[in-house]
Amino acid sequence: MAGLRILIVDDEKAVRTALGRLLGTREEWVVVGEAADGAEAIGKAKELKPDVVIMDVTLPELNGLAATPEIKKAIPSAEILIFTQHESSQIIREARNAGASGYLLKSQANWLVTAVEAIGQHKPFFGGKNLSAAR
Amino acid sequence: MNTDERNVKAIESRTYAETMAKTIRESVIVLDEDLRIISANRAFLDTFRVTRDEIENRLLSELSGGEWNIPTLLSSLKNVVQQKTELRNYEISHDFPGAGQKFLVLNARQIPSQDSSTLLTLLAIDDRTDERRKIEDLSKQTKLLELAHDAILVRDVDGLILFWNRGAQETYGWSPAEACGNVSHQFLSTQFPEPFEHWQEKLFSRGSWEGELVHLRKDGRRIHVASRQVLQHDQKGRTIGVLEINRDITSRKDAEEALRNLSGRLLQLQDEERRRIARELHDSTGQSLAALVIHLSAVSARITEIDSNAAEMLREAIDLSQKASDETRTLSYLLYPPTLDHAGLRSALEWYIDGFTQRSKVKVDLDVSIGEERLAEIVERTLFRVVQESLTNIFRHSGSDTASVRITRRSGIVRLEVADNGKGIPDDVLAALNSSGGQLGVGIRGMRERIRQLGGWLQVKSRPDGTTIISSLPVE
Repeated sequence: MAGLRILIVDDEKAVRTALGRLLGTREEWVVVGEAADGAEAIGKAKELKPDVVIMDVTLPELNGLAATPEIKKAIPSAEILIFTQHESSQIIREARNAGASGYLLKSQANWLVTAVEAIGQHKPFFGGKNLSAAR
Repeated sequence: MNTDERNVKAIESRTYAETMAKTIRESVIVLDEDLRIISANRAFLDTFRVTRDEIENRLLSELSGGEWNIPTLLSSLKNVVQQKTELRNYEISHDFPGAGQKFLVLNARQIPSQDSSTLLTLLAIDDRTDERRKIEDLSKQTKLLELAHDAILVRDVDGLILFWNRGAQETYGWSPAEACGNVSHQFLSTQFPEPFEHWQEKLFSRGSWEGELVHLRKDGRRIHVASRQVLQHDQKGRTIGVLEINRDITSRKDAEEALRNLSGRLLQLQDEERRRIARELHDSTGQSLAALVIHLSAVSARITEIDSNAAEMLREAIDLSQKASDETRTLSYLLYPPTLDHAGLRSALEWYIDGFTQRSKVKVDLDVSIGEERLAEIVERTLFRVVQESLTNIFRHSGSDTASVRITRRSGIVRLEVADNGKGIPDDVLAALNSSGGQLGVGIRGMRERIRQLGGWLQVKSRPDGTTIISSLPVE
């Protein structure tokens, strides 16, 4: 399995740490950086050129749905997973329109590794209600 | 003249005198040299409540149980009779059993009798009781006026001060000698609640006025007074002057001002505290819960392989912690929306109104036209709170299903209007909301205080078909 360079974007430190741990279960994946707001996310993405960005929506400065197209523009090869607490079909639509490859609810974090794997292979992964609880 | 002619003349004179005596209002009696009453006129009988039978030929001193038995009077009258002296303006103040306390001025002189043999004394009694009472009352009133702490002034129609009591001297520092003769409102540098001409017109058309004024004391200090003024008229109804009573309420007003400032300050502090709590909730508790959700979710993936029951419980645990996380976030945002700091008033209002409409089913139309520039943090926070408070009131009390929030900015003034189409506010509640005194502010009163502290004003207007809360703030 190819290594993935991952950028984690979330305004809550505890969440970033938890994500780091989850992703750490795959040895070949590396968390190359973290960002706490939309503007910082764009800056870090340009600097680090990650393969995958895990992007929260409610961020200070610039929210995740606005930062996504900017990152896609700067680094077209980066795949972005929208990772949020907010469950709504509108957000899913907006995520697609913004150029994200995936969408996952935070309460479905058990699917995170699967989702990152999928988008790391440039496949879409749109979770939400349609994901079944059991594997 | 012969004897007959002289007698006729005497009789004519006497008749003339008697007729006069009968008609005049003054009480008149005629006494002989023993001070026995020969005759008395109608006025005497009425004033002293006696009948002709009771008094004719009776000694003056025995009259009505001795009520005229005043030693000094009797000896003075004897002098008149014996030494032909006159009794002039002799004053007596006596409690007459039949007629009550009376104040009399007596005049007596000898008059010739019909046959010139007996000596008669004519005693005229001027009843000055009423007048005297009026003077005593007036003097009592003046003493009362001087006792009052309040400033009591009388001025004429041109404003010249005619009367200035001790209370006025204590209140303003000027003595009566210094004050009288000056035009009152110039002398005191009076500040009226409206232009002087309007104010005076009100006083003269209504006949009285009551309200607050600002006066300048002799020592240069300005004081607030509660003033009552009333026009004085003469018997023909013409205005001859103004009576004014003023009470120094400066310390009361200072206390009210201090209370309002305190109240406003408390609200600011409360707000700052909410912001701190909200931050704590969001940064600490909120983060922990969010992370909790992720951890539990990750674990649940593994558990399913081992034990499906445990997996089910874990699933519920995840739902519960998600719920706790959402609730904490909402709570912290309602306490203090971070959007207000990050993205400004418009975004914060959009977010709040969105939630409000969901919770209350009241449709709110938002129009924020203040340009792109952010306002001062404290201004945005205060305006946000006013909207929050106003919409809460609309939801709770108005029965309206729509509302509008409009913020505009022009010439350095920001204006906020929150309006509904509900049933309006009862007059007494409305008066209390718009008044300045009273208890520490909560709700709209508190908002009014906060706006006032920023140099603006807030007013509640109500009609039966809706209420509007208008605030205005200077921003430069």
